[in-house]
Amino acid sequence: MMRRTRGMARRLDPRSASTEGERWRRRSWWIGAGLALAMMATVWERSEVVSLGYEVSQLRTTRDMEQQRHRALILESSSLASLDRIERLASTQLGLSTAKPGQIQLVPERSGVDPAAMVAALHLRLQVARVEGAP
Amino acid sequence: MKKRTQWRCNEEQTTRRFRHRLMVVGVVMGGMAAVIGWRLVDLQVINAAQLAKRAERQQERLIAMEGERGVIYDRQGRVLAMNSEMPSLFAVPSAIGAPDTLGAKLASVLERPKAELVKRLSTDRAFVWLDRQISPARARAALAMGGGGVGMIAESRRFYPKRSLMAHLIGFTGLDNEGLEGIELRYDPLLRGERGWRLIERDATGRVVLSKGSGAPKRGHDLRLTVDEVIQYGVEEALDAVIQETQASRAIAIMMDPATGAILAMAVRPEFNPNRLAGLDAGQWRNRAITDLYEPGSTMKPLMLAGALEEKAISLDELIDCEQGHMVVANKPLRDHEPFGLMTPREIIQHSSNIGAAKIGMRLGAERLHDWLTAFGFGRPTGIDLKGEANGLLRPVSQWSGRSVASHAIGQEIGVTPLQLVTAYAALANGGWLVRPHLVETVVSPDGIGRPEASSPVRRVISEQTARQVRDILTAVTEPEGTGAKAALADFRVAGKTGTAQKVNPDTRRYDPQAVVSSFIGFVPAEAPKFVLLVVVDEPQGLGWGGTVAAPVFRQIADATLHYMGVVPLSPLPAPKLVRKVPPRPSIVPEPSSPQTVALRVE
Repeated sequence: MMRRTRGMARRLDPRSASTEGERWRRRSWWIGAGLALAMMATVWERSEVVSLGYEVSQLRTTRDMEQQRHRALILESSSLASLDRIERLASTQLGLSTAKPGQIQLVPERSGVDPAAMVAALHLRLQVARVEGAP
Repeated sequence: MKKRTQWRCNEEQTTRRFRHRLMVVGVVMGGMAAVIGWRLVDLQVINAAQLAKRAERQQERLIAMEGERGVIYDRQGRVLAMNSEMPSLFAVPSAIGAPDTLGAKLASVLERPKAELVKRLSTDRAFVWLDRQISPARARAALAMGGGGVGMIAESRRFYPKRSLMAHLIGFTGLDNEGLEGIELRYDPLLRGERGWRLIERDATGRVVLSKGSGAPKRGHDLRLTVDEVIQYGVEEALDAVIQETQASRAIAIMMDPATGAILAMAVRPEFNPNRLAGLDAGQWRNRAITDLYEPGSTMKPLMLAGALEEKAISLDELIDCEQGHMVVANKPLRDHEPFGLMTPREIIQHSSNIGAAKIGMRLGAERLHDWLTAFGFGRPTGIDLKGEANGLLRPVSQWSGRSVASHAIGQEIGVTPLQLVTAYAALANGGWLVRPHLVETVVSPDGIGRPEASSPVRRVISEQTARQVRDILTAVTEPEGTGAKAALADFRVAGKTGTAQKVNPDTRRYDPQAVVSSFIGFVPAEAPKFVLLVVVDEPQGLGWGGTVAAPVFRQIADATLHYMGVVPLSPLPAPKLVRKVPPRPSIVPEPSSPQTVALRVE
């Protein structure tokens, strides 16, 4: 009964009503600020995602371009190393020519090896290839 | 007082008017707010799902991404075929105002017919290709004059940096990177990558904002071939030289490792550049080494002899009467290129006697000869990893005539591909095993794991002893008296056989003495062969003997290849030995013991 009477008195007290309103205003302000902050965070996050998306897209393009350049360079190097081109340059610009059979001397390293042993080795190689290649 | 009353009245009127206006404005604003609110509800609630989908369609785009086609390398890892991006030009005809004017301008830049371009630009289709996979400079020039209606897309294009080298073997791809010939066709499922996709979100200007998911494209497998660029170059260079020298219509060469069946080189002349296919017909890019049949002529004799030795139908020291170069078989003459008397099988092969070979074939008989030719792989594909291989032509015995045994023994009435002949000779070189020729050594997966290509099991055709005997006989061919003396090397013993086969004239349906196929097939070093090499020269002008046209080409290629491989002689060449001299033109068949015919000489 006492508590109820005190509550009614507080509601009727103009000072008490002013404090209540102030508290409500403060609470609203905090809620508003929180909401605004959350919205700003959301917008910032979205903006970051978009920005990173652009960056990733740019990096992906750069990577593709570099890979393409790498492939093009491999092709160019392979084309430049073509034997017909090298031979043409060697003969026209350096004055080189293909060695004639008489200009090359072969030195027998394994003159003591029995040819039959070499044939046997060949057969062994064949057998191994057969075993390895068998399905 | 009156003034004060009037002022108060005016104030009331003003207040009332203001309230009235305020009310009107409030109603208008309220109405507008209601409309906006209703629209918001409509957009955000009622049609939200449908509109969200429409926005997604506008902002999102699914991009298909082609998996990169695998690279083809030679056995040393040199690049033979690879993809690179090239610009392709397209047009949106609805966005082009004057197709005639633009067509004329583009025709000069793209070097295409004006009428064709104008026709494409005038069509009512939403998208048309103007030119595909062109040079970047040309694409830029076309774009500059095309305005908004012309665009450019980067497309992946196959390049062959070695140009015509190995062109018949590697083949080529189409505009959409699908294999059309050669290795490119046979291994297309492995070389071709798997398609991928990427879902992107674009902004109002078309820039990519986000990647919302992707299925990565898978790169195709790489192939490492058994072929060596340096060896192949030497082979092709030698073929070019012989074609220039003899004015031959075509030339083919195949080099194979007899132990494994790995193809080291395969060349066909005339050549083509797979980077520029416009204007070529199918005949120019056909790999004639596996598709075209020819009568092998005398190169068939050692194989027939191997069968006869294996069957013990003949012995090596037996003497066979070669009838002085003339014999009648089934009422038709059979001739030798010069008269021979009694000869051993070795001499028959060394001098390439048709009559001697025919007599050995007759000892075998039709059935057994047919069986041996089949055993050596004739009449069916070798199984090489290329598409379009011919079976060859080996008729069943039931279709043979009275002359067929003699004809088959000397390499007539039978059609073989160059590859079949090389495979059969590989059996002589490796001790009697028939191997499966193959071109791909390793398949490398996109993650870099190499898997050796499985080769089918080989089977034994002849015994090791027979193979050795025939090998020894074949070394006699490149001795000074042999028909293939010009194939001999200074440091190595060469085992081989010449072949000169007349071609059938399609008009007369008879052998044309002027049109021949000259060939030489052999292996070296004879004691432990590193490779089998066949050289075929089609229709050389002048004296087109295999020993004079093809044998020198064999020597040139074999010499260079042995040097390149670093092969050194196993032992010094054998000392001169006593051989039996064949009488040049004896008038009567002499006794074997006659001192005139069994004259021994030192070589």
